[in-house]
Amino acid sequence: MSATAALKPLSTGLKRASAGLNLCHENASALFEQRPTLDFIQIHPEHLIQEAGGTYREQLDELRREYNVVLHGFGLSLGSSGPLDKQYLLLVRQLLREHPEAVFSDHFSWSSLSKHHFHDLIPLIQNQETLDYMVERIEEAQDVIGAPILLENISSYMRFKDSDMSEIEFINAITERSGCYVLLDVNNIWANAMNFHEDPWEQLSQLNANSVRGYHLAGCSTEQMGNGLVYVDYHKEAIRDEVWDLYQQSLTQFGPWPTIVEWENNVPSLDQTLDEVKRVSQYLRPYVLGEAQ
Amino acid sequence: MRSPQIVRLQQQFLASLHSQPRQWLLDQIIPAPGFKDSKEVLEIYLHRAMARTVDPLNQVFHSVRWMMGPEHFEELIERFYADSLGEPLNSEALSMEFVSYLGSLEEADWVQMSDRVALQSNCGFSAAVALVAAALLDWRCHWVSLIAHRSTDSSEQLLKKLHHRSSIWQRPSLNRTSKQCLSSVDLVKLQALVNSDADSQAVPVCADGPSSFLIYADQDHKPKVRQLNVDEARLINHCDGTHTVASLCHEADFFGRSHAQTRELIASLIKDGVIRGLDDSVA
Repeated sequence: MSATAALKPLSTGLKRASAGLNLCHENASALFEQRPTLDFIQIHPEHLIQEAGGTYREQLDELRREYNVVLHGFGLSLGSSGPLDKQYLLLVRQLLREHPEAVFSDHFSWSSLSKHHFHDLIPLIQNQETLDYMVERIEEAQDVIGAPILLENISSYMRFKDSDMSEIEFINAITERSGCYVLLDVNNIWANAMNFHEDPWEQLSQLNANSVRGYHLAGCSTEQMGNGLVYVDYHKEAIRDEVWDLYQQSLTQFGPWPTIVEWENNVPSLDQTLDEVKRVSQYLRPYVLGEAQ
Repeated sequence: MRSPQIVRLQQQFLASLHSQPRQWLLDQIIPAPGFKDSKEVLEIYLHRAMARTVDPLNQVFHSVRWMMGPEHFEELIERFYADSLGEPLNSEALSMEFVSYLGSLEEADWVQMSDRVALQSNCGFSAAVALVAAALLDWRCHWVSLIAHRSTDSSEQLLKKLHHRSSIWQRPSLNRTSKQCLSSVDLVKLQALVNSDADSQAVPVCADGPSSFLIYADQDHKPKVRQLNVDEARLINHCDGTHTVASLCHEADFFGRSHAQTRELIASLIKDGVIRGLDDSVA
């Protein structure tokens, strides 16, 4: 059976073999002026809350009228012990109604406690207690927005002694129990494996095949720490060759899903980002043409 | 359900963020092999949390930074962070908290900070007043740049409306966050000094005592500060969407201004992007 025959359209209406980029303050003006052909753009619901008006907001609103979008949050803090932000979830629900093609994603992490926001994605203790808690929170969030959530695997530089599951075991268990899906950040799989001296291909092979519904690709930086090099997920460099290879393997293993190229710091010219999006499209082309087995 | 383990982990993070790394947390962490110990990896998370929280303040409070100098400003925002009861996700909320924080400092704090601000002798205000004025200016400039315009009508379209025969019933209004204020600090000169990154010098003072200013954004969302003369200040004070052009002309009669002069002033404020709405119903 060809890969094309196996493809089912995403319930969101986006094509499975599609490529887009992350809208941010640094690239919004260029995107607004150039309006390149893109399958979709990724927007952050938080920006709609933070900026009621202004140049960026006007560009964002215009661009989301013109392009298909996916919604990617960074502030829901599903793993937090504080209550979920219902107003935020209601905004997501509204956005999903406005954009029937969209999915909403966030992260397997926590980032805030009550009114304290850490502006970072902090890992969880991976054990049964956290698993039960996360499942309950995800179900609550999915009930409010009225759709399954995609959750992204994060980069992390530490683990916890009380964890008794691997990251992939933890993710698999959450998706099985909550019905959420995985937004697979290929760079994070690679960087975590490098940081903990593990095999990224092995990590990838352990992930439930039917749980992935999207990909993130980004670059990571190296920093010299007290005991050696560490790969840090600053999204300020080009995607590494090793990550492209892992992406290729992901496509074989999980099939094509909407793929986003993310830059957030040191954002290059739009042309450079579009070159990376084109490269994603080249990887996806066999699936579009039904050539892959 | 509650997860005691998650609560403890997160409380320990929070406590570590505002003082020293907690031993329980350090014992719980297994750092990636590139780090020499738990403390080094935890410091990365804690430092990023602080840096990412206060970074927006650097993008907003240009005048305060200019007045105090970069080093003292860094000290101030670190102190604000340490004293903060929460770190909002939203930089606008954080900016507002910072202004409130400045306004709530004790006299002793201001005494310490006063030698960091250069004032003209006999300017009539203290360093505390100057810094709060600068903070309010910065916050309002940020705020006006982020608010949706009242109308997408161009100035030309608004002028056409003003020239219509029924325009006496139109109700002029400003953008929602445009702010009229009084200050003895010359806010126009202060903004020019900050924008040109001028070397440190005394805080500019209004020559004739407290003056009216308007802080607003143009159609490109660029913040602007305008010093107002008496006629402008009086007219703008009533451009709140409830007073008609007829009413504004009538009020100006009492100050010796003809209807033509008032209409001309309204037209001029439309051209300058100050008046951004002409509505024929009460807003």
